[in-house]
Amino acid sequence: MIEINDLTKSFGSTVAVKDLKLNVAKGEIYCLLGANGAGKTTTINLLLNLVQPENGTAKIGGLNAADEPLKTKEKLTYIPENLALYPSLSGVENLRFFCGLSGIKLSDSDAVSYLMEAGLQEEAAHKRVGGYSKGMRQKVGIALAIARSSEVLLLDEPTSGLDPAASSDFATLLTNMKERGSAVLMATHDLFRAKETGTKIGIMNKGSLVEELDAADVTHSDLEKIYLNHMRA
Amino acid sequence: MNIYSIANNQLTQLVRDKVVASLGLLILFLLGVSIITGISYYSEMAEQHQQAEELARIQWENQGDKNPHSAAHYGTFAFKPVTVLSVFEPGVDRYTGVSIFLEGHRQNFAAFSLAEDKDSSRRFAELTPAFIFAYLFPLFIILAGYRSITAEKESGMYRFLKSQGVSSSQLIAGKTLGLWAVILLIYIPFLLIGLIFLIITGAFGESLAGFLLMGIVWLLYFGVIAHITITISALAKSSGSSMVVLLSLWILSTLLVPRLITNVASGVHPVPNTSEFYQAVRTDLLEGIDGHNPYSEHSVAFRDSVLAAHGVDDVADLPFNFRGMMLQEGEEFEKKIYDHHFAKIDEIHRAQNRLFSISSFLSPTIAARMSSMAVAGTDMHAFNHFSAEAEAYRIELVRELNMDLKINAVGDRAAGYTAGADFFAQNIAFTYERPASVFINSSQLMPLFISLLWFVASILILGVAARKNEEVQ
Repeated sequence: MIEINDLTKSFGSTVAVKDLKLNVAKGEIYCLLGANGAGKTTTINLLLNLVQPENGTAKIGGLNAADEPLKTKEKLTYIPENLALYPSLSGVENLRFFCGLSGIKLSDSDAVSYLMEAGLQEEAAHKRVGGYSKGMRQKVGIALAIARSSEVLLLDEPTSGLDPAASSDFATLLTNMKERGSAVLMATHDLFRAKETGTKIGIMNKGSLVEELDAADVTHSDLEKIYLNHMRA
Repeated sequence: MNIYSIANNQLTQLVRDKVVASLGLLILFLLGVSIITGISYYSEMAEQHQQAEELARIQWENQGDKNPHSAAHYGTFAFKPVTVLSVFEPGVDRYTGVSIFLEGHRQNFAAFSLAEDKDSSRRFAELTPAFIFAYLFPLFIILAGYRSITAEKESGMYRFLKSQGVSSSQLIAGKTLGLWAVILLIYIPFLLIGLIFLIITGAFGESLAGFLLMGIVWLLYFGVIAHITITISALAKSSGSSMVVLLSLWILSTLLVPRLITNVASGVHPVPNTSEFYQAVRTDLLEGIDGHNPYSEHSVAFRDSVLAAHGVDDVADLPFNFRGMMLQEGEEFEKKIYDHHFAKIDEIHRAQNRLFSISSFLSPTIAARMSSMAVAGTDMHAFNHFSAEAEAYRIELVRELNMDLKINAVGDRAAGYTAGADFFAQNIAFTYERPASVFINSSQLMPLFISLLWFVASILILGVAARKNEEVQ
């Protein structure tokens, strides 16, 4: 579902992503680990066509993001570290607005259903999101992915700053999305969550994918050692 | 679809924003107060106008048996009616005065010295709908819109929206439409109240075109402010800098440029004060016939030419009253002198107005204000039209009086000739009517044209901002 081939992007003299090759199939959660500046966010930006690649392709559902940005964006939902929502609108109103951008008309009750499916209480769904916790906001993002029937989820540090319970809830939601057949690419610093939630783990360093592992094949401590070895190399 | 959703979303957010909602309500309240005070002013002035006009006519007709030329000195008044649209845009009416004293030999300025009070510096003040629209409403638009795009960038929403397939152009178009919707929420009630007022006052037919044009003028102006606000918000690095830039532009457009142009206009095209004006007139009058001085060089020459033309040696032998003829001759000479000097004043005002029109390129506020005054019939062109009509009436009235003296004060009736109430009652009366068309002359179209240019230019810069933003992440 996500196919990245020989992707390269530089900013001035800094190489952000170098000859990146990566595939995420349907029903797979690919966790991209790496230090700050490793190229994780740039990879997501390339998939979102927010920046243009110098070389290579970033495809979503077989479509090149650089050539057909609108069509590829129809297939995906992007959830950043701090999901931006309109604070003066309720969760329901936010969801209806963002779905409206995709041409999906939701009734209030539809929106409530999706939000509840994403783990939000009905009462909270009608409250303005200005009072939402970060975890609640991320749930709105997941509800959006469900409502849009997104084939691809791009997540950039989505659990950063979440308390363990919220982080666990979020992981459960991701697992649900995987079971629905979505392909999930999650950039994260959280080794524990990557091992627990991911089906595949990639480690990026200085723009390159230096290691790719099946999450089931490594223990937490092995993953930590491998990761640190690459970072200290 | 995206644009509509974004516009709808922007409208909802602005309506829920306590600061914006409070300011909007404040603007509505101020508009209400200004309309009420405007209607009160209009009603009072309309009543005073009618009473004064009737009183002046009664006094004229009841001045008793009198030499017609004495009646010319007794004089009367011409009153400029207040237009219904002055409720919304009083323009320069309150500074130029609305009455002119009409008398023989002399063309007067309107009440409140024309030469001094027509100074363009006093055109920008008072709590009227026009003042609110020109100065306060732009502030409201700026406060409602300065964060439109910057807040999206600062919160990360901009990236998120882009990830949803929203383009910069769609975002900017949607935000602009949302801001327009808020503007219309306040402006439409004003327009409806205005239309109701026109119907109630019975001025719907005659003032509708002017009112609608005024409505369009202000709408263009609001559009310009809204478009510039969104453009700056799209180009600024932060909400703070967006606010600073927009407030600076507001100060420039509404305060600095008008003040600067006023000073430049007064400096480059100075208007003489009243005493200088009349001194110059007096000097020129000495060069011609003085109807009251039969012994002056010019009067004697004129008398000799008339006697020669009729083949008589004494004015008593003429078949008409020579004094009446000489007074009329003097009147016509004086008219030329006054016309000459008033034309100079008029040319100075035209030059100042041209400067103001040109300065509209620097300030959309000036363009809107001048256009608004033009369509309301309260600008200098409208006042000058009234002055010209009043002067034409004065000349005709004095001619009637002098002709009566010339024709009827002959033979044994010459000494102590007086005209009675019947004669004064049949003298022409002055009733001023504005031209049927909204615009009196083509130069009034210039600010309107510039307002349109501002509007088009503001849309174009929105497009530029959208293109620039496509590159921003």
